[in-house]
Amino acid sequence: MVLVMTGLRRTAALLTRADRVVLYALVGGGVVLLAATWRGGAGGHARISWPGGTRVVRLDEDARYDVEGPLGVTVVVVAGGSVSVMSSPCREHVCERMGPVRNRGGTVVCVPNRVIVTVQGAGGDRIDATTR
Amino acid sequence: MTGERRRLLLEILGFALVVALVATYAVRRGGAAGPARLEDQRLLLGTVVSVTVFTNDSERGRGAIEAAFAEMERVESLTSRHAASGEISRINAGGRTGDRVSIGGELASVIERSLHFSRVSGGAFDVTVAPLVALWLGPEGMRVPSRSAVSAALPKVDYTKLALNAGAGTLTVPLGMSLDLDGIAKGHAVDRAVRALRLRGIQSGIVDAGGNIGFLGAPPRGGMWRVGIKHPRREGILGTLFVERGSVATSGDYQHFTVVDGRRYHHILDPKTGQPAHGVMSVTVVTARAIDADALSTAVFVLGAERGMELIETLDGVEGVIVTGQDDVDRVLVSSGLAERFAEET
Repeated sequence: MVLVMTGLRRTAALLTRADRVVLYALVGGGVVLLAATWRGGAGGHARISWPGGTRVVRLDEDARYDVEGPLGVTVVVVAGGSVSVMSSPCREHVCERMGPVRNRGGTVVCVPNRVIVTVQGAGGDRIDATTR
Repeated sequence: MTGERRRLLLEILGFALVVALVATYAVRRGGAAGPARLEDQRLLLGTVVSVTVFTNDSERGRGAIEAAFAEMERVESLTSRHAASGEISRINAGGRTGDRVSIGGELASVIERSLHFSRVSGGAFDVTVAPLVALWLGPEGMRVPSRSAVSAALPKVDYTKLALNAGAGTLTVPLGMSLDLDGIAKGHAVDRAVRALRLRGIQSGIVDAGGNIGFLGAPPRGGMWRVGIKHPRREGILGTLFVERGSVATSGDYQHFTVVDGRRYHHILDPKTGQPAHGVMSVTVVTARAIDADALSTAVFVLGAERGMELIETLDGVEGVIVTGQDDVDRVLVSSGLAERFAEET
């Protein structure tokens, strides 16, 4: 570590002001690039599918999604990085008791209303699948 | 220092910086240089089924996914009690008369595998459990039948009374008895789907039928597959399994249950008592074939923690995680072969 710092100091001493401007521009551009990709890559997302279509939603943005199935509207809620079914027009309301899921492979499904919510994820996910 | 040397130094520094940025960017994007992940999911086999393949040939990948789903649909129609025109319905109709019925080779092999696990588990897994299932699982979900109804159904549950001749393709179901393949069909479907992916040139993929998971090849990043085991009472996972290949399945008391007078009644029935098995929250089994993992997770759940782990340890190529408790996790038992491959969440 000491050697690296010494080397950097010597290198810095060799650079002209123009050299430093170029280097700072490279570093600054890099930081901006990483900041842009960090936000998009870090958060997981969930796929909501129903007979009428499919929608991918972010898990890092709290929101409510009304999904129209054959029985009526299933309300899917994203909160605190998890996704769950808040209400559904099915008979047993099993989907509402499934609770929130946040890990890749985590699924909440309303079989009668044919609504499927599955957590997908970014490349940094810790797990490939969830057995349940 | 000359200007030339300074420029050279600057170029080296700049190049190193660009390489570092590109490498970091690639890692953040999940290794964009690797094969693409293609995924689809459908409602099949009474659950959510997802098929994932890793390939840079999107046309081949999509075709393989379709083939996998088609294969699972075929297995569902073959094994479902609810398919009026299905083979199981015809067999169960035979049970209403006690007649011998002819069966196809694939179904015969699934029933044969069921009987194998019935024998090794001493009847903890029983393919003739259908009369009890009909009492506990009605069209509106879980319900608690009367003791007398359960007692009346118990004599109709006994796998030893089935007469299967796989070679001749015949099965005799004694009068009043019927089959329920729900404890093994998903596993068989997963095996067939994984085979369909392999036949279409896919080298890496995942078939997940409601937690019955089959892996094809190795993950594209290399190393082992990381499988989360759902926590039986809370959000999130209990721990992570690391598996190189094969299949994983879980049976849990949280999948289908009802609470009556403060008591939890779930869908994993002990064929000997006709009641939900007690003492275990969830059982996860790791085997080469998904059909085996599916059947064994149920068998071990019914056997209970100690006898269940004994069974796991006696079977070659079988490992497992057993979670005991009632309202919260009491113990987590891990088989010897998973000692270094299971990481419990802290």
